[in-house]
Amino acid sequence: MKRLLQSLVLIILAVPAFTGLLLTNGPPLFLDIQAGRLLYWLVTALAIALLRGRFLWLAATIIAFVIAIPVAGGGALLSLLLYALGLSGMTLHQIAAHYVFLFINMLSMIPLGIALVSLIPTAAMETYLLRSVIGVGTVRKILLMGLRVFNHVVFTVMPEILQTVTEELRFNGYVYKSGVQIKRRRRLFLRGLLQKFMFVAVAALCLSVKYIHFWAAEISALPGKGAKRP
Amino acid sequence: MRHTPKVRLAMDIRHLWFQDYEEREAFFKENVSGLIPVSYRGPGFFWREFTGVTPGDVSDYIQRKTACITAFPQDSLAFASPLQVLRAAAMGQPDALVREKQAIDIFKLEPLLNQALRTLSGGETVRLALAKAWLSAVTHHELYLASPYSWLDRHNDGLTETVARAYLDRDKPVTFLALAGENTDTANDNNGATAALPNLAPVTFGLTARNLRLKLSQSLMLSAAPLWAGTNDFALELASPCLVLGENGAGKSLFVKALAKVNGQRGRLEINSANRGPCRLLQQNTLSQSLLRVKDQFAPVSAGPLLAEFRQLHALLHESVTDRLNQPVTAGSILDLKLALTAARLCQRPKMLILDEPEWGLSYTAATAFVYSVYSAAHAHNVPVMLVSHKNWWHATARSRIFITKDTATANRKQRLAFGMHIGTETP
Repeated sequence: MKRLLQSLVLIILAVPAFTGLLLTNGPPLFLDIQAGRLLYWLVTALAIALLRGRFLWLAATIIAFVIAIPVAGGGALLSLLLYALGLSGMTLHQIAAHYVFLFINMLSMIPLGIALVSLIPTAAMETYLLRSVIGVGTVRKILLMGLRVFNHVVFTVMPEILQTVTEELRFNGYVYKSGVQIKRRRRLFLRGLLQKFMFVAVAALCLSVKYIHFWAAEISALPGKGAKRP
Repeated sequence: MRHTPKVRLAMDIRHLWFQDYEEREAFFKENVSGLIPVSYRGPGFFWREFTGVTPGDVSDYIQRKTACITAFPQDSLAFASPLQVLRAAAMGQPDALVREKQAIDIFKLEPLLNQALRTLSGGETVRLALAKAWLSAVTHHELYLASPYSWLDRHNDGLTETVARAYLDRDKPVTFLALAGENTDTANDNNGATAALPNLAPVTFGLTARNLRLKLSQSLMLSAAPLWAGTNDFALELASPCLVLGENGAGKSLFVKALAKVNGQRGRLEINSANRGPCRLLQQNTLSQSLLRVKDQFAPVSAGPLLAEFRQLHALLHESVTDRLNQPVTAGSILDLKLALTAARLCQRPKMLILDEPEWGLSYTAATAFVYSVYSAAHAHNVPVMLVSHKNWWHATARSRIFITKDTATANRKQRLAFGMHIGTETP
């Protein structure tokens, strides 16, 4: 019941993001961004922290920044390049306004999406699909496979990588402090960070798919609904 | 003294001994599964193996009906929680619910049923894998069990025999795939050969804890309320090498992760040693710690003294292990990976180096060569070594011991305290 109420509040909170309702209210603060939009960002952040806890809010906000910075920043850089080459139909003001708008939107929407997903009891759903002692039908097997991939990524791959990176990032800090000149230290620190980011991305991809064949075999091997008992 | 199953079982179980992990895994892949790609030889190797699996291999696996427990037991469990694993294993059997309940009782899984697999300790995961294999005895034709002597402490010895018996009583073959010397009980029992104990310079360190709470896991990324384990306050003066002892599931790995500040924690936990670098940890599951990197990629990103130090230590460890083994370390092996990970940790002069179950994936001789070489290299740089293991192999070398005992009486739902831990130099 608590989950249902929380979901309802978050879904209602997501309405303005899709309809633009109330977002264009209030005086424009900068680059034609209305106060309503910034207020919406604050309200969603507060709602997530209150309903789903500070930890989830913090994690979701970090994820939102990690996604929004390259997307909005990269888009803005590309638009500026087109503008410099005379290929853009937008003014500098419009480019800035568009990407700041996009950035703020992403900062509200991504955590809201994560908070909503966190309310889906995926682990309990797997247990529910496996509740029968006789067998599992084909549709349920397909659902099980989908849930397996999601749960594995969220509850195994992510924490495992986080654990390894937590231990190793402090090592990077040590490289930063070790006896080399400041300019070089910064370069090495950034290089180390970039290298780790690449390792993490590759490892995350591989570890996410690692068990797919095994799960496929184990789930297929489950007796079907009308299976005969041995 | 050797640790072997009871006479009838010992006679009936087929034992295959392998010199190293890679040889055993190759056999395992060939004869049992082959569906999970190797993840410690770089992404290229992984991808070739992953894309090499065909639908024919998958149906082959299903048709063969061979129950197996892999070297890393989590690799033989396909679902998210113990309850799901057991339900899937018992599904379709006559009296499925009764057998499921029996498995829960025999393998002591009741309190763990809805826990995420990743949050189980090594021993608990093995108990679950054994329970799955026990349930599969009705439906499957045979059992292959990797590293049967490596995971469980002496209190849980009988469980492996219970599973083997479930197959043998039905005239189904059981094969143990063990690494050479895995069932050796003491440090001086390897076919009569005495492992050469290193002559170590004395290194001491202190541990202090006050109001310490350890977060049980970072696995519940989307959960707002994590569970905690509480510990007693302590101030310990210890000598290196220090051995951490405790039963399966007592919280040994949790404690050392807290020392390395890998998991979340509250309260104070300090290490006082001659060095100032951060405490580093070599995890039991070195495969996941490698993040698919190969050995050169563990080197620090620096052309300065740190890189030189890494290379020097790496070469030193390699040479030391090669001398002890009387043969070179195979490139791309688990041992090779462990050496690179250790050199990357030692080169920054950590406050302490922790080896969590360092014998995992190694034969007895390789494990002793590795651990003794690490002892020597670490002590030469004043780095204290802490070792977590339930094997008796390291008792003779330990200069101090920490005992960890689990105290379920202090569990408190309001404070989200799952259990308490007593940490001290003596058992309470």
